Amino acid sequence: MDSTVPSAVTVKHLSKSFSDGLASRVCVLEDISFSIKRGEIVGVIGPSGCGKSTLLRIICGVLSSDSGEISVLDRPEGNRKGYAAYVPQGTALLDWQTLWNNALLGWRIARGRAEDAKLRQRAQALFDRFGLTKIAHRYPNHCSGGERQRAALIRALLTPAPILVLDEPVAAIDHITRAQIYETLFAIVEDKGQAGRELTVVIVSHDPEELLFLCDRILVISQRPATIIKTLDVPFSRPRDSNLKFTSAFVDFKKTLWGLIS
Amino acid sequence: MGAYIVKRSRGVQFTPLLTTAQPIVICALLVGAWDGMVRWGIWDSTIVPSPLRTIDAAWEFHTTLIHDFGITLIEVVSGFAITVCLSIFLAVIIHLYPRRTSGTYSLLVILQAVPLWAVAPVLFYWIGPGLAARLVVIVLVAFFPVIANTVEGLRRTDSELFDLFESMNATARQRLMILEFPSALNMVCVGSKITLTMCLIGAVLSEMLIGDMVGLGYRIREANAHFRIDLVFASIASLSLMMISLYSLLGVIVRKLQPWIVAKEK
Repeated sequence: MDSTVPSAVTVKHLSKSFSDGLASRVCVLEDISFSIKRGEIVGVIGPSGCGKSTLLRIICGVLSSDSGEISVLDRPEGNRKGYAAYVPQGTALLDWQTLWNNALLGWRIARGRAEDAKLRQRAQALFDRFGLTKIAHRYPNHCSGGERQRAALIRALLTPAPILVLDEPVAAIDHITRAQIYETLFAIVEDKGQAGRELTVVIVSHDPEELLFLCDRILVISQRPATIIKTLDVPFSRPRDSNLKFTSAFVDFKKTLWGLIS
Repeated sequence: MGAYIVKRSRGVQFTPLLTTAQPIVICALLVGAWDGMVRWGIWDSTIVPSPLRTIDAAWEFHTTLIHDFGITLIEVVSGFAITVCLSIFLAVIIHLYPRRTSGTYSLLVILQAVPLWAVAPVLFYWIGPGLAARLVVIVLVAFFPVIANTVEGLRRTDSELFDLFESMNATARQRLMILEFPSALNMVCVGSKITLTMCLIGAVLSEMLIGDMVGLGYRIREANAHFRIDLVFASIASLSLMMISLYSLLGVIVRKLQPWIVAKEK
């Protein structure tokens, strides 16, 4: 990618440890440095429990770091809240609000109560795209896991923040539905008109094939305490066709990635 | 609720009719047994009046009982409303300013431990007779479950939702109104149900101990002093009727307040 593109997230020598509930501390992240350019789609992969979610939560400003620098959109260290549209590992929908109101939550919190006709239109379009229009006025408890996760994605897309942070957004869903959701999501992400702004995406997944297909770059992370083993540039051009997954170049790449993980 | 669980675990279909009929049948059996015990002389009929004599007494004193019922009802309902509003307000303050209010909560626990039946007569001197003193007793008796449940409910907000709100840079007020309070609502409702029963206890206690000479509590005390145990029983029956009605009404309100929970069970 062009080096003149300004960076969206810059992380330098980041470390984080947690208390283990006893006397000692567990080091989760150790000396992590990377930079994500604006408009880039970056995947994070690593063994389970290695601290991927912690990393995302630090980027979102939900957690603070022990040491190191993080700057979001070239703003120096400080308040990072409000710059990331975050989709946590569970769907984190409000049980007491309908899917529609859940989807508008990010907007309402950022901009106060009133939403304009334009936003309603965008929300409606997204509900149509994700096939949730018919159940928009249901409570999350009445919806399937896939429907809930799609609603959480719509909420993130409608949140007025430039960085989309996805923590295994479609885990625990069958492969076919997953592929469909990703296809819809990334078609929107790549289209500024529909996404409403240029989006930078950070996505955590445990599926190497998924990340290779979706991302421009993949950060491979080690066992705890997590360090970056390798940064892998994915050379395939966009827009990508699902047939790409069956080409030999893609399969070769997948082998390389598998090698790095295991 | 009960019927729902039975249906799931054993496959027995309980119709709504049977669900309502069940407690009525049990009540009828108990009243029948009570009548039998008195009729066959197992219980002394001067100490335990038969069901029929209780009904007779209720009829004989029906104007007094209706009047007393109305007064106690007003006390319970207004006492409940004040208790719930005040407790929620205090709980929210305790939640929002945990450091500055760290002592308050322990103070409330201590207050809860004070034997009110001992303090209530003194309140008569402090506040004077009348509804105000009785309401103070009711609030003091009943405030704890709502405060304790609300504080706990507000603390138990799902951590992922909490993170989400943090990432959105939500203000403390937005977090409270959109996230924490609705998520605590179910526990607030559970606390309110306990508090309602305690409000009734508080009302009867205040009427017995503060010399206003009104209400079912006072009536029970007076009837007891005059050895009209049949009237005591009639008054207690009126109190039970009030409790059952208020509790059912509260159940309906709670369900209306949380449509997402009712809908889930259907």
